[in-house]
Amino acid sequence: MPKTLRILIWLAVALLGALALATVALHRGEQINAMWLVVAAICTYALGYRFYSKFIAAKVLTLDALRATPAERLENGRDFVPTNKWVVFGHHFAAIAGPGPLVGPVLAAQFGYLPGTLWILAGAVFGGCVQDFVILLFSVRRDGKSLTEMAREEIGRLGGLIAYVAVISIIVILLAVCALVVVNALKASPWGTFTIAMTIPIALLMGVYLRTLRPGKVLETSALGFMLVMLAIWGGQWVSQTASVARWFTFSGPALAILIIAYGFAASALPVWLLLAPRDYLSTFVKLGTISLLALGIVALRPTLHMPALTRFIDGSGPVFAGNVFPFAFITIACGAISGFHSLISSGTTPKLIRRETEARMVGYGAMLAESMVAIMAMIAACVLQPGIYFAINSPAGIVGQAPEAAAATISNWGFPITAAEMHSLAQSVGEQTLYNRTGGAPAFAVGMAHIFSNSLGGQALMAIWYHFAIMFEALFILTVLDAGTRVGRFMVQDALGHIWKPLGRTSWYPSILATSALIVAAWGYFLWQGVKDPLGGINSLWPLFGIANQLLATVALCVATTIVIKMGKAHYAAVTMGPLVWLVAVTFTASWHKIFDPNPRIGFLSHAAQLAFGASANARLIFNDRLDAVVTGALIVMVGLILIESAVEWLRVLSGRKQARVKESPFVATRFAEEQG
Amino acid sequence: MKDRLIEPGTSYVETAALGCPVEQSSIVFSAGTTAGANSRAKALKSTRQLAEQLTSCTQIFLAVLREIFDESAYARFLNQRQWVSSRAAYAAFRQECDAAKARRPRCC
Repeated sequence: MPKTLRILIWLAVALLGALALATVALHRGEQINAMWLVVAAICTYALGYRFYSKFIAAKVLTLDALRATPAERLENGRDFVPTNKWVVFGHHFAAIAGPGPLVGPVLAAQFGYLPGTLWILAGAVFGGCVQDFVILLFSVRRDGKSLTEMAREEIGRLGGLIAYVAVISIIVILLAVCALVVVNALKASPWGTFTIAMTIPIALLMGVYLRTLRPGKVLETSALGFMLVMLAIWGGQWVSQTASVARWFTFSGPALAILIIAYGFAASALPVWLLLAPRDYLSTFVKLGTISLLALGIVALRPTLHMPALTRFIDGSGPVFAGNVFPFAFITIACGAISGFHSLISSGTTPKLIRRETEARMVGYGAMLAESMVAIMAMIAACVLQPGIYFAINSPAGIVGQAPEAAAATISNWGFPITAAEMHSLAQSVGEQTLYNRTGGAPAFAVGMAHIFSNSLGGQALMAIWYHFAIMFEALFILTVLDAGTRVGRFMVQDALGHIWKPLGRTSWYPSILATSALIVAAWGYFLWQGVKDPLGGINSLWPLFGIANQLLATVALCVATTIVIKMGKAHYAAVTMGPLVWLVAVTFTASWHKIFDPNPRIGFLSHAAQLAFGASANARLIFNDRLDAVVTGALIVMVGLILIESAVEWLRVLSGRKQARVKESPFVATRFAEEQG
Repeated sequence: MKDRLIEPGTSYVETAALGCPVEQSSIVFSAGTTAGANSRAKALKSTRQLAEQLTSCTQIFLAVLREIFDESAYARFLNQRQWVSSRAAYAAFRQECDAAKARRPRCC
């Protein structure tokens, strides 16, 4: 293609993107079409990928097409396998896409669609994609080493230890938050509970089928499992309409919490092939299909966003969670913009599959852009709802009251008109008794998704089926994270305890399996129980904790990345990783300060504890929970501080010449793929 | 490499997916044709090109699915040991890969 034409095309993309962003940002008081968000996102991602990632690849990382990757040098047909870049892209995307980019944007929509959308776009292009890309490349150049190992080698022992503690913390808090989202989505919902309950025998059946009847036919088994899940959704309608059966599947929040804790323990102790692996396959199958379907639905329907660009709640008085737009919008949306958790995947399986260094750009940077697009779709699904409905679903009873009329009146007084009759009619159309106080983000996302799907396919008649399909999709997704996370946490605890007493480190010794499973389940189970009992719906305190823990891991990853960039003699380009690092530090420190010390009891843990202590009915357990949350937040922020100090000392040593700038890369070996295109 | 393969009177057509090696079959002859035959050849070429691109995309899509769903890993496992698929082989494969799978975090 001639150079002039290429320039003109990119100019057109930039102008279209600018127009779309201006429309998204500057429209006030009028509703806009969701396609403006889609166009703004696609143009931003295209420009970011074409120019920024290319700049990083060429100038900062100097990707070397002639250098053999560990997949080639250490090829063993098992972990290290040179794989086609599109296949690695799909594999990497499937591993990084979790429930986070679906839930975070839905919660952040309380500020309006604008803050969350801008953060998703800017955060991904300048932060999340950069982190995933550089960590992937650095891991590739170090034989696929993990983030923890790279932190220990490049920063110091403390860096490695903090990375380890950050991973454990994030797993525990993540699992508690995920479980809480499921509890809030399923409480008093026999249809949803039945469908999700059925996924357990379906996964077990898949495990047995795969092992005995059709060994190795995973795609076929997953398709079969998917059909059974669809049958379970259809059967759930009958269950919900048959009073004698429905009561067996109608649970309160605490009862569901106990069931999920028991499930988590069982899943951690059962053989992988029986439950974890088939559930993982089923979840991935549903995930890839549903995300594609949602993208098609949005393009086909081109819905109008009913949520305003900015709501009155940017002042921090929001009912979904309390706190100003800065820093809380940036803590709430982690996975769609920048997620520390991705650095574990980028330094896990993916670097062992990359065939050529130059492909790290598409896999690392590109897959994160796709994940960010999922977050934009979640934002659209939340904002196509009437704001009154959105707030009625997402506001806890402690804020809007228990009675439907009182809740409708409170929300209408905020300027988002809604009536109890409308909410009742909506609940009936989706096959639920009520949709009030369904905090956590999942039910609001499910209603939005059902709205998009039913208007594209099947009309109102299928609204209930689509709603429960969406709930099943989210819960299946989340329970898979719960299974896998509990087991990963268990292995990490076993690894650590093995240093104290060797038998505890043996992953096949049952007493150790049971003890460490109980330990990790008790840790996230405690936070889950705390969230279920919290009158503010739990999400108010737990989601910011999760956001802070996740961003702490991103801070570790960006510290490692900046250290390596400086040691590579590229200090003049260090702003590429230091920019998002400085932003994350500002966000996490500010958010943590507010969560601990803010005088508003809805935000600050300590002021809430003090308010409870002085109240007429002092609740010792709630007071203890608040203080524990404050301590956990404080510990996380101390770790951020420590890793920053250790990294800064290392940077100063190298920059002042007191330490030789030397990176610990694997030696150069020429690739045999050098003559291929790309 | 590319230049060494090109014979006089032939040209390259980018039929493979981006990043994939261009295959021998993607070399088409363009010299020594009349105008009518040329346009038919062009139409045929573009149809064949489209069909090859579609096949290539489908193959890549299926390869992605097979990799995500561990079917490729199982095929490599069988290939390495020169085994055929069976219950025992699959059980051995699962035993080998479950330890790694269980340690692999699923992202949030």
